[in-house]
Amino acid sequence: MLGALAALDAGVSDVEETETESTIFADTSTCAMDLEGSMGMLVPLSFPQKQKAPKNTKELFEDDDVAVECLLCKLEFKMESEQKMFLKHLFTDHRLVIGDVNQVASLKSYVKFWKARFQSGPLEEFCSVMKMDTTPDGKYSKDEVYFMLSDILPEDKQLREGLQRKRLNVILERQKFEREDMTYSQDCLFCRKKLEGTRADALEHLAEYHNFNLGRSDNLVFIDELLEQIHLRLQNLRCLFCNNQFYEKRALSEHMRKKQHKCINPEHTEMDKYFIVNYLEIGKSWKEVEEEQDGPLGPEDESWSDWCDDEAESPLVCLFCDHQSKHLHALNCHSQVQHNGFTLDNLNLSFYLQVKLVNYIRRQVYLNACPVCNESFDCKSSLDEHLLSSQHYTVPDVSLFDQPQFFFPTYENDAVLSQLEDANDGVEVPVVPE
Amino acid sequence: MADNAAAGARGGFRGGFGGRGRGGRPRGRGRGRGRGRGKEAEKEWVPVTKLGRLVRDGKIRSLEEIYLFSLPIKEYEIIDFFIGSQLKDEVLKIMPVQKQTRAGQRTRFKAFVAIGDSNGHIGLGVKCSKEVATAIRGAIILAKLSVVPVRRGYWGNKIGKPHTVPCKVTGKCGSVLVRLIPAPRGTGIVSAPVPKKLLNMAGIEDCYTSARGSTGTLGNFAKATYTAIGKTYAYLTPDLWKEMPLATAPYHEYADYLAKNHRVVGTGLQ
Repeated sequence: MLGALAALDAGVSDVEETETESTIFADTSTCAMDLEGSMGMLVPLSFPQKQKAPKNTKELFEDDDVAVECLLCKLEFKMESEQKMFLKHLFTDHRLVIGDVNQVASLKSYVKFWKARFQSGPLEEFCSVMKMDTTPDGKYSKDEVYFMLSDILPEDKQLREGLQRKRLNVILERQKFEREDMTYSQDCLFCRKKLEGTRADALEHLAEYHNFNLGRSDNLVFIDELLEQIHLRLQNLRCLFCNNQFYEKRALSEHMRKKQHKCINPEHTEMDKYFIVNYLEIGKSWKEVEEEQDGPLGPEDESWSDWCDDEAESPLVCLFCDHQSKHLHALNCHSQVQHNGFTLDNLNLSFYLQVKLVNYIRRQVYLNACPVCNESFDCKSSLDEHLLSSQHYTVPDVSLFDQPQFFFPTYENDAVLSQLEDANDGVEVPVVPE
Repeated sequence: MADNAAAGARGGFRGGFGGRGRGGRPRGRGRGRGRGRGKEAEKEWVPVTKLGRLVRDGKIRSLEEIYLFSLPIKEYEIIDFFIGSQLKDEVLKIMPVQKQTRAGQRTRFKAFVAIGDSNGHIGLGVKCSKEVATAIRGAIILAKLSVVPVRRGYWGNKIGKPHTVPCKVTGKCGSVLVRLIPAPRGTGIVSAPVPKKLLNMAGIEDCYTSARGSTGTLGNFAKATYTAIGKTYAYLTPDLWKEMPLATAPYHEYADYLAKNHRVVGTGLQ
């Protein structure tokens, strides 16, 4: 089952990844075009990195609004905008009901998963069966069979929890961006001041100068949209808290001040999506979470080991081609096979010399010149040919790369430099402590 | 809190919409203001440790004196007192974690925070809570308590300010081993993003790193880097071999002061 979920992951992320990573060198050549290929590189090159998170709730749900085939037939429905139609169709035409459907984080992924699973057995295997005395249109008919797909089945529960966690991670990604972004710029809701900096600063201004508390910015997400919503309501002269309509701006402001309605009504569920605590667990709103005790601190609460992110490690790029590996060992194996036995392993060079060697080779390859004999070529393929034919896939003469300019990394985020072995322990290091 | 301040200064006109009302504390939402950087009204700090009392009364001149005698710091206000204004915190990661309780699975937010002044001090903290803001606040306090001094050195010539680590230092956490290697001025920090952030916050400008082990466990990676940075003062370089006269510890020096001002806290029994 986990395999199916993993396959679903791959399917889901297809939609999210709109930008595919083109070959590394192609990208760097475009960004380094301004250097005119001169020897004096003023700006270090860098390997591209990817990132993406939804900007507002519309984008968050848009991701899900893809046409998906029905669970049991070939009809297609858009999972967000045509959800009601889809559920009605399921009920009337297939007698199938999805339990707690509004708590499913991503209906698209859910339906895709179960469609695949339903192929392997009858409905009874997965759904609970109910007997009712009416047909879907309401006519009386004894003992009609209906199916309900709900989280009573452990597989279903696991799927729902997995989808919830995925969505929570997407939300947290967006919140991370909102926390760190310094380029936020909006007009204040109440005064004429322009709010700039981070969103936290904007919220602080609202609280300090206008007594408008939205809560700590760390608990909020999609803050831009939230402020816009509030702005719209105020423009329509509607009180935020009690929804009263006013005909004059002054009347509204007096009302909000006197009745202390300058805050979000906790009962307004359409505001729930802006508070992260509501994404925490399936079906639990902030009210229930607040009542929960925090519980005694266990050893896992203070451990650092559960923060794992295998994708965060930038891959190592081969010195001579576009091949990427996760570890230096794998990269060395690759270059031993593809590049005529070249390896960075066991070179018996000090750490500093290894660093210089890598930077030197990177520089030469970028300029389409041979690291060993310094012969220049007009394109990469001719360089490759030369390296192979003249057997120049070797470590060049030390004097060639033992220059001070090769202390500085040729590529800014060159992960190879961080994985070089540092064997010599007591080597002379020309450092003077403060 | 600002609400009381607002009530006091109601005279001034502050722009169009709704003046400074006597804002109550709405239930549920709006729990306190956004995370202010030192703008929150400071409640009077009542120290509960001896060291805290000495610090508040100005008997200790700098944080370095505390480090010199390796006195344990149990109150984060002590750190705030000396370098609070220069400290910048950075949230490394917020992640949901699951905890098994009697009532079933509980999901909580776990915040990993690093704190530093980019000039010789760095700390790391981790905290779990059901709300993101609470987790971050708790983690910041723990990070402040774990602040260590960072020793830096010069590559080659003693010109300008020290910019790199004084020697090769290694730190280990879990399976991750991080080695910090001195670098010449202008190299920058050559490492993965996570240690790079920490080294920046510590005030190290140039450094090479060599990492081994499962560096995918970013938590251990960060902790190992922090351990390595902390070891810069632990390593005895030749210039420290000179014998220094023994200084008296603050507890000893101010023992009379502490005894004089020691108030016995009553247990409440009449």
